[in-house]
Amino acid sequence: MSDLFNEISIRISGENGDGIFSSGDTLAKICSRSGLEVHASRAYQSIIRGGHVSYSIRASNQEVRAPADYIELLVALRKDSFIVDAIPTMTKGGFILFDSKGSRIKDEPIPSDVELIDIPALELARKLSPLKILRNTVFVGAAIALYSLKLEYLEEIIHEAFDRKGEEVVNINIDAARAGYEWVLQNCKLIDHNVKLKDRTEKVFIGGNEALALGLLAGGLQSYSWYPMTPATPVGAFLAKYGPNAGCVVKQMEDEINVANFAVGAGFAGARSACATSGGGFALMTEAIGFASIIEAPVVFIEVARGGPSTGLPTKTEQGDLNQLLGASQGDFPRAIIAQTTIEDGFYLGQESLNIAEKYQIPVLIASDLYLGEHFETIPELDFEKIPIERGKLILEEIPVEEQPYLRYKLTEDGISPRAIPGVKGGEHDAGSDEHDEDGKLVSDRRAGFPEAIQVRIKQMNKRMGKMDLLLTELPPPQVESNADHPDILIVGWGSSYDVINEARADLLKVGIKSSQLHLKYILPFHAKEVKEILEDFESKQIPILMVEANYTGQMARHIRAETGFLLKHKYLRFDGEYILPREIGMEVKKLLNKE
Amino acid sequence: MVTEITELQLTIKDWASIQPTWCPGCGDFAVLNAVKNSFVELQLQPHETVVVSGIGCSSNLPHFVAGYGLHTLHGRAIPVAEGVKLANPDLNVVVTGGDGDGLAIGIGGFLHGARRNMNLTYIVMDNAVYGLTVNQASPTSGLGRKTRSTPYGNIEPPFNPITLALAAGATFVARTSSGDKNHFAEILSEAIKHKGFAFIDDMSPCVTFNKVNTFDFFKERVYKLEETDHDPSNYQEAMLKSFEWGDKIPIGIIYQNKNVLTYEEQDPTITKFGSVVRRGAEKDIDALKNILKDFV
Repeated sequence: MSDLFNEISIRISGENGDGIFSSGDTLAKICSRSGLEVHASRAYQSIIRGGHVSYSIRASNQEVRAPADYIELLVALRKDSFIVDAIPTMTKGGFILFDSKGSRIKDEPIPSDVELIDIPALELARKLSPLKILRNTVFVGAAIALYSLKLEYLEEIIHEAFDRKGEEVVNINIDAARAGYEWVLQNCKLIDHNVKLKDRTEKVFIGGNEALALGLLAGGLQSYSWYPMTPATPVGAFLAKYGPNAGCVVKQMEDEINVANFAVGAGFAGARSACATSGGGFALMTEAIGFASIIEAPVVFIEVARGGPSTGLPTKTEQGDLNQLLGASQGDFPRAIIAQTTIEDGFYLGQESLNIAEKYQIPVLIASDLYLGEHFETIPELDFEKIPIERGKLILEEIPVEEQPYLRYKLTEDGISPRAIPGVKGGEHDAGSDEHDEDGKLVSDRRAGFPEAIQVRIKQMNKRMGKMDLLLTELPPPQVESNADHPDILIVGWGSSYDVINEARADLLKVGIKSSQLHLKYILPFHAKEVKEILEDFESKQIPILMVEANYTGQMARHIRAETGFLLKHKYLRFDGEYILPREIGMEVKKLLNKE
Repeated sequence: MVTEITELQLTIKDWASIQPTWCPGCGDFAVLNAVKNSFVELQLQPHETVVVSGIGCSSNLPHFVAGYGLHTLHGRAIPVAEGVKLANPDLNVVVTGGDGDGLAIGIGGFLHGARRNMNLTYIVMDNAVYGLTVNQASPTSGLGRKTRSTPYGNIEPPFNPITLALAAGATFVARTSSGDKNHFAEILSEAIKHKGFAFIDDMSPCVTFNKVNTFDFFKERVYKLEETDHDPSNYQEAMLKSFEWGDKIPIGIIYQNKNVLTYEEQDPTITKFGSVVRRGAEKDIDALKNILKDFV
């Protein structure tokens, strides 16, 4: 309990339609503007009204890159908040802010050792306006008073949100915020925390999907096609809003099959092209991924996974689609699979993925998931110059007669053929989804089976697949991070769990457990040799290895075994759809080390 | 884009490519011929022209004509062509395919393409049969037709592609017959010149598998709308005309609306930058940093 109130940990929860997310977002921004590092995540359901939703905020003077293990202040708008949030996740010594009369809360189960603050939020709101939603502003005002956060920042955000609706709306909201704030000052003992609040700070506070989308724009994205699907929708919503001013065409299509095919058409035509979806949509896209690969059109396909199979858990997280990315589309063809690891990483990965797609003329698949895509963090300053736009062997000028005939699929030493796009004189060619020769003409119809066609097939397959070997030499090999020379354990993870594992390790170190972390980002092509050496090195030193994944079967463990032959015996697998918390990984490590 | 004649006049030779693989006598030869003639008439530049197709006998067409060809997946020619067009609206994009490709597996793309009204020309070579997979019923096969998939006779009524295109909002809808290739070339030129989604349902007989909808079948029935008082600008009249199929089959322009903006003319990115491909891949750091002001 020594860490209590060294951070701010707030959860606000209620029904869909209560305005929980905008209240939560306001609280998060107030923390960010107070100079704190913020992590914010949401839990919700696949409905528009009713159900139970929550918004969790963790803020600190130190970097916070994982959800809080426990809630310290719960703003409970509904009685379900007591069952879903308070009982399982409240810390002892915490506070519950609620309105017994306004929310008709009585005789709810209450966790032990928490302080109840019963604020007449609805009554205070009704004095100002008949609009029930105003009680949220009262609650937010009360919450910031409890943590001694500045009312001024709340007023600032009210202006930003409501200025366009006129002075009256702004004033009512400001009055409501003040009513909640004053009520707390008059009736409560404030939370005695150890968080140092700073002067007004402007930090970027952004989600994983938005950071990835911004990265795509920074990578010179020119075409984005999409179909709404949770949890990938925010990528499309971001680009629909900001794409047109950044030179990116954004097209909502009728289904994901056509989203993917649109993206291939745009890529063929010379646009830096991408599309995003979740597991179900990706299943529909797969044929087009093979199509992109055989016509050697660069396209980035983003898969923000949710709980599967089928419609599965639409609003819950899972790393369950790796097998689908590895196995997408028929036949063997080159593809890159890269997992986004953090929100900040999304910004750079968006740019890197477009470069890889265009330099190697291959589809690049980005693996993300609901947790990573939908949670928000304050992030360090972004370096917009770090990754230049690289277009590879792209031909934009007329091909002179003496260099003709132009061969689109010319056999070259590195397997990458110079690429002319429509509009380039002298570069005319056919791009076909059938197997073809260097000229792009089919070998699948009347030539099929002839010795010459068989040789064409072999050469074109070798040419395309050879790009995987070349790409692997460009990708940075995985590194082991350690907090001691002789660690007690190696934790292996991939993609979205990087920060959570990292924080779990920091917590473990506090109780004397030293650890290393091997985190995989580049999944295909795979650094088999390096990963094998790392794993065998730990095994030879008899250091236990724990694989952490959010899926049922351990899909990455299986991929590692397929690539290296190394069997990962210990796995912590989560498939309940909930975010993995640092303390849960810590418990698993302690169990494995018999230190519980 | 219809190019100004500034240099040498392009001829049919400029559109030459490899020999088609179709069965001798196939209706698709007339389409290929009309495509080349129309491209010459309009003086399209091969390097500015992309012929996009799906999969099937007729979808091999891009290989038989010069210029850029994009032979896509079964049923996906339209969305791929839309990707090409929005990336670079300066290109002439002509889409070709069969009735199975466009009206069965690709119907979603066809209908949405029609309502979207991008400046595309879409020719369906309609032979009312799946030829490449050797004779199965297609969405335009007539009732009772016996094929390998309907050995006891087809019990599904056929689609009416013309009515469908009209209902979906296509701004140019025409029927042509491969039996009259000159007429087809004339209509095709009008379709390419049309500003918006132009759909042509071409009666293209399959001489190998379809013994009902033959060249003679159409020769006995077709009449040209241009030679009647049909008003293609009248939507209701066009709808009524679309139902005419029997002893008399109308060919020609059934409907054309010249007064609608294309998708490209309204797209917020294209209206600002024109062709994004021609503009190039840009990293406007100041603009990107400006976006971040919304995330504070």
